[in-house]
Amino acid sequence: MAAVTIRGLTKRYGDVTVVDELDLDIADGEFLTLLGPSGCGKTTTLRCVAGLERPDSGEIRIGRRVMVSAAGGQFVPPEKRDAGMVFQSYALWPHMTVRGNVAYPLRMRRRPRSQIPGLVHEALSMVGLDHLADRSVSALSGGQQQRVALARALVARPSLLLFDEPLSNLDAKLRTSMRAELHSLHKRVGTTSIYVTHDQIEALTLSDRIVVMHDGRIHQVGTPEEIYAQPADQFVADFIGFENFVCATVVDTADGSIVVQVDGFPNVLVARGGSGARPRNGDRVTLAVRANTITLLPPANGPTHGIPAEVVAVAYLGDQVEYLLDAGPHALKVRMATPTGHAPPRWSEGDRVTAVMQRESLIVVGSAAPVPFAPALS
Amino acid sequence: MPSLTRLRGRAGTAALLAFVGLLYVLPILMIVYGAFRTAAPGLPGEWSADGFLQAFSDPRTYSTLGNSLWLAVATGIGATALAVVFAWIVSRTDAGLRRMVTPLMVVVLAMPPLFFSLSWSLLGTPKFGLINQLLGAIGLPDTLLSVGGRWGTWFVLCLKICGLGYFILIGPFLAMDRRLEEASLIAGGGRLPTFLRINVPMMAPAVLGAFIINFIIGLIAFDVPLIIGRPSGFQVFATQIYAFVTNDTPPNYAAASALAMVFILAVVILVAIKRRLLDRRQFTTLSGKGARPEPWDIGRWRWLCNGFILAYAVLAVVLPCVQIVLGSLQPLFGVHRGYSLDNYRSLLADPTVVPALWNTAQLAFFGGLLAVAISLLLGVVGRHASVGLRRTLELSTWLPWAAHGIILGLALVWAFLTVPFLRPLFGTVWIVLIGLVIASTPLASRATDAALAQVGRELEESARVSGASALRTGIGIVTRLILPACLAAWVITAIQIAGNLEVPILLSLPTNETVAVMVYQLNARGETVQAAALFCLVLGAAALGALLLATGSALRRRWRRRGRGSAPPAAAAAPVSPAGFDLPAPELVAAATRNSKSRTDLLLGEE
Repeated sequence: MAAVTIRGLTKRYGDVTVVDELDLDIADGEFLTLLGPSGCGKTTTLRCVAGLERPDSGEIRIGRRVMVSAAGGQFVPPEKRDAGMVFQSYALWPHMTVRGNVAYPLRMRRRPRSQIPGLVHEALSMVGLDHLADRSVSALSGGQQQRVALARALVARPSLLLFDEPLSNLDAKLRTSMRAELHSLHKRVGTTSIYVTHDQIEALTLSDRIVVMHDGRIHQVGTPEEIYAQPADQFVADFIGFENFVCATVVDTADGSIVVQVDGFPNVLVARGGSGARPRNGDRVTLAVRANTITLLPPANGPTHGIPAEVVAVAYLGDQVEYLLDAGPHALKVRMATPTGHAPPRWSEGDRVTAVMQRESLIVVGSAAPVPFAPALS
Repeated sequence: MPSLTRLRGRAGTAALLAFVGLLYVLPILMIVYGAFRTAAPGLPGEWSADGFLQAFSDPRTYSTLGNSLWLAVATGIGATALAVVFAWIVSRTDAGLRRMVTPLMVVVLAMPPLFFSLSWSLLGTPKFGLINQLLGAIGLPDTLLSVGGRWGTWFVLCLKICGLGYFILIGPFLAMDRRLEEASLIAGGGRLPTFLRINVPMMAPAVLGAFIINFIIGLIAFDVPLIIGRPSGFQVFATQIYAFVTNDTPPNYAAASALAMVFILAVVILVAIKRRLLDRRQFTTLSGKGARPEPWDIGRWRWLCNGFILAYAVLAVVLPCVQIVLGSLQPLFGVHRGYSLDNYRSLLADPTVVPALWNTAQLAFFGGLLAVAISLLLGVVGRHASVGLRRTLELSTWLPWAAHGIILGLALVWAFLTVPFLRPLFGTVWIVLIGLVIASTPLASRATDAALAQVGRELEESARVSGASALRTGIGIVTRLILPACLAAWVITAIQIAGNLEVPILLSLPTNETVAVMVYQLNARGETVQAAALFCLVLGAAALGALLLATGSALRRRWRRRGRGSAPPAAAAAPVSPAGFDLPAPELVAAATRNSKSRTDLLLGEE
């Protein structure tokens, strides 16, 4: 097992910079996820760590060994990096049986012949496929192929495990169970792992830490809780599932809380600072709020910090109902549990309501576009 | 073409099968018949096994058998190795010239074997050939290179048929997912172990398939051994069959047929073995989402690959072309003074040449058209037919492979002289036309099938749902969509026909000789420069055809682009073509070979 250090990693394809001056430290035994939309450079970063791409500049160390250093002209080929990798397309060799595929890394690492059957059996039983060892890999289902790929990555006990969107070829149900399995597997094996995905649920459930990437740069590094609750900027908030963004002016920053005046709302509200820089009085900021932290009440008995709004669309989602509100200059999305039994009635289009945001649900995620009168206030 | 549903009905199917049987199956049966007859075709004779006895008591048979086997194995290995290298360069490396390979291979595939044999017999002539003169000019002995005999035949044959092997291999090579190699690298295997343990076994079925096809071609090769090998005494199977018919007096048709039958049997057995061995092992189709064929950065090796491509282009196309054109302008072969068009003038003044040119042009034009039309008909019917009918159609149009070249000529002699109602056709140009159509059907159907496979079923189904009949759909949608591919197939088939020597050499009479036969005879008589000039005329016509095709597709694209800009309704009414239909002609052929669902698969076994 080994820690991974990435310094100043840059990779270009022609004029396009896919990974831009990336710095990252991965602790020994950590499960780290690179999360981001397609084209954000996460897969390229992973492939640079694997040795499948040569970075244009920067350095990568695994343990104490320098794997690649553009400045020092060093490059350790992938087969010498002692890693295991699970590919999106599984990449199982169709001319070998399940056993042949799993035994391959051991043979390549010149393990004694006598040990190989035992280790293969162990790896296959870890993924629950020991009874299929003699099948041809093309005779397996997608989920089974994925497990073989996993066993192949694990079998030689590499010091580093790499996952390139391993679950994206599976159907939704299988993906959920494989996710749980991967999680418990990591707990048992404890190998340092780098996992690439664009699925926020996968990232949140599997990782010790998440790295959110966009356009070849890191936007935020943090635990799943930090990423989920305190997105550093608007991109992260948007990607991690915040539905509503509103513009506001900071009016008070006394004793740690930030009081903001959201454009077009009748009253000031209390917001939380994200993990970004702390705003000062008079700053224009963007706030994010999740749809499920807003409650709708009848206009009559709403509290003072309620926001008057009108329901413009209703969508029934099964266990939840989604409302689209027109609140001054903003459109707000609200999701509430579907009422059961004698619960209050559902709202319908055209209803006037009061929207109430939960305490601490408003998060400052960055400065808004500059407004002409902002300097006058500061 | 009646409606497809009715075609599937009994009458249509019966008519189609009878037509296919007459054209493709009957000649082969006639070879078997002929092997057991004592008399020449068309004469009353007895049933006997004398043909076999004569053929196999003749000591020449055994030496040619050995030579043919040697040539088949050596060409199989040589041409397949060349094809593997090219397919590998194109699919797995970033060598700059790799984009040149496919067009180059189209040219090599389209050029008739006669071109290679004639030009290399000139190139390799000591003292007078271009290469030897160049060697002499730099101070080396000008007799250093002599292309002839066993190795000369092997060399020229490899140059030529590597083109076919390339198109067989390039599909599977491109389909291979690079992740499979990367997974091996990560698992700890270096480049060499990865190549040996992953690439080689995965590509083995396709490579073995290509080997078997090259082996078959080597076994029955006619033009190249006849022109390059025979002058220095290298006789093979096909030239021996030819010799039994033309050199023995009286012509020994039974012995020739007996030899031919042995060959047909060998091919059938080879194909059967191949299907048994390889067809259950289908590797190349397995890949999940995210599979991309990407080339490897091969660093300095790139220059080696580029050099290899360049060397092949020079040897296979550039030097032969230069030599033939230069030779055609020389007063005497190898004499560099007094270049003139005299050879052309005297050729065109010859009363037998102009009719032969005209005859060949007609054969190429109509033969190519017929071959493409038949392939298209069978392809469209096969698309909608039951599995059994489709297999039968596929198998029968591939039978010309078993009865290749000279054997087909022999088979048609038997068929046309023995079957009563066909006899009047013997000696006319029709028998030559039929032979050439049959011989070029495999090539034509390769192109049309691949193009057909690119037309999505939905395009046809939506036409049917919109109210078009099967006939209208077949002509208005399917044929219309693949028209550019069909034109390209027509041009290539026509070039093949114009240069085909094997079929007309037995079937045509002096009154309806083709240019290819005339070129061969001129060359055999030592009138080398006239032969070169005559072949140059064929080459010129072929180049003109290719140029017309390229201009046509360029014009069409331009017209279409303008149509899209000014008149959107017209553009919208134009068929929605799947990707790949706007390609220029040579690339269409390449696109055609790219997919794996062509009739070739019957031999290659990727169904």
